[in-house]
Amino acid sequence: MDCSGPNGSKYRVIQLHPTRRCNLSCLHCYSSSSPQNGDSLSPHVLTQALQVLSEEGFNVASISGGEPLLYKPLFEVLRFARSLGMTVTLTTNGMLLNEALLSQLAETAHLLAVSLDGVPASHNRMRAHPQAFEKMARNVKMVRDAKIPFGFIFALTLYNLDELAWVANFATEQGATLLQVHPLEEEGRARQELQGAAPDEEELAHTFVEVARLQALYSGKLAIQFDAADRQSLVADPSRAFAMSPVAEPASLPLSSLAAPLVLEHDGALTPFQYGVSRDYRIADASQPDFRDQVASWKTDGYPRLLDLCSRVYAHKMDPRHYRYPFFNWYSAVLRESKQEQLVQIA
Amino acid sequence: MSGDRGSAKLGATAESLEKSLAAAQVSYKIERWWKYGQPAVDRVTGVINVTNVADAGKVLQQLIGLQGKLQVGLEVFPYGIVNPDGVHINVNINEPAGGGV
Repeated sequence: MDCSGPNGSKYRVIQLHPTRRCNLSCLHCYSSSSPQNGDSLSPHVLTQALQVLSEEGFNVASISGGEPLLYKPLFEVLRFARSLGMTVTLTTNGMLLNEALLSQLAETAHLLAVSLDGVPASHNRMRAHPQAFEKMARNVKMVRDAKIPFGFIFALTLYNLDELAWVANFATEQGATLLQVHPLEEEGRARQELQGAAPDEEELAHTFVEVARLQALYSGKLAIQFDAADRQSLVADPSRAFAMSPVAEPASLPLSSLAAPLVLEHDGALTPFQYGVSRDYRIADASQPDFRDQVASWKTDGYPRLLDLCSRVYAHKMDPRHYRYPFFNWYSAVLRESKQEQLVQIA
Repeated sequence: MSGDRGSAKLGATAESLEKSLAAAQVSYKIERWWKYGQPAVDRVTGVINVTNVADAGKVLQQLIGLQGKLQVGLEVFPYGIVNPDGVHINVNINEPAGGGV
């Protein structure tokens, strides 16, 4: 049995966080990255991990951070991922892009995602930098000229849905092919700086309506993706949220068919689904020489525990007594349950 | 960070939401949901749903118009039993992700 998970069965994503070094200290940063943070993984560890994960069926390498453009061996890692036949995406704040970097990205990345948090003043406030928008916007013109497919990722809070129309218009004017709307995660620095600012399920429902309106408006020009789980689709197929019994003989199956997406954090920890998920659910440590063996062991030891976690999340979030609206942030719910924090109840 | 809800600044209310949601769900579906910081690779290498066959030609023309700027590959096939009136348009920009359904 091949469980499709939230990304569907075609896309088996490994998200890499090679460094927590960043030129910014964004208020909403879930990895608490900053200019002072020098944590990073060696390219040797990353490429070894990618080799194993490619053999385990992962076919999309998504590079995030920190700011990945500050990771010196970036292109060595991207070229290696490409050599494995992986689709490569890179998420950046866009401020450090230049023609030399873009020429290398044009050869190594299939898709570039640039963070955009609203109108210029909101973007600069969230980025804690007075020129964050101006510098990013100037560089996006070079991305377009380099003919790299690109999109914008918008962090939705409880307070900024009214800026989404402006963002969609800006994205279209810049020649982006994608606008992705992702609910703020109260993790990392956002836990202190933006407590209570994550959109609740009522705001997610309003966002769905606004996304549908904007998608109709920009049909054929801009794909707008809303990253919320739809309860209707989970009723039809609970395995989309890994709410299921363990498959028979998991040790004989590739890791990608048991759990995806996965995250490789800056210290080598390979964790399921979401940055910051409790290390109680860690799959393996890529910095250790027996990484491959740890992955194999997890299929029998850790996999049933992960499904148990997901089933608890599903039981809670799909209980009609606990919700009023069709959408919720599945990743956030898994993260909270993994840390045994109370799941937010709406009704 | 505080203040009015973004939806309130748009003039939306909880009361109007139920009706708006029903209408929106006809035209927009969430087929996948991606994690924070993970761009939706399927939306540039993915599927566009067209629920009205009469609109499919128009959408295809728009996609074909992109080909001057991007390497766009298109496949069109019917939904099948679930929605015999609709079509899926597969859009592949550059190299598609390998394997799988």
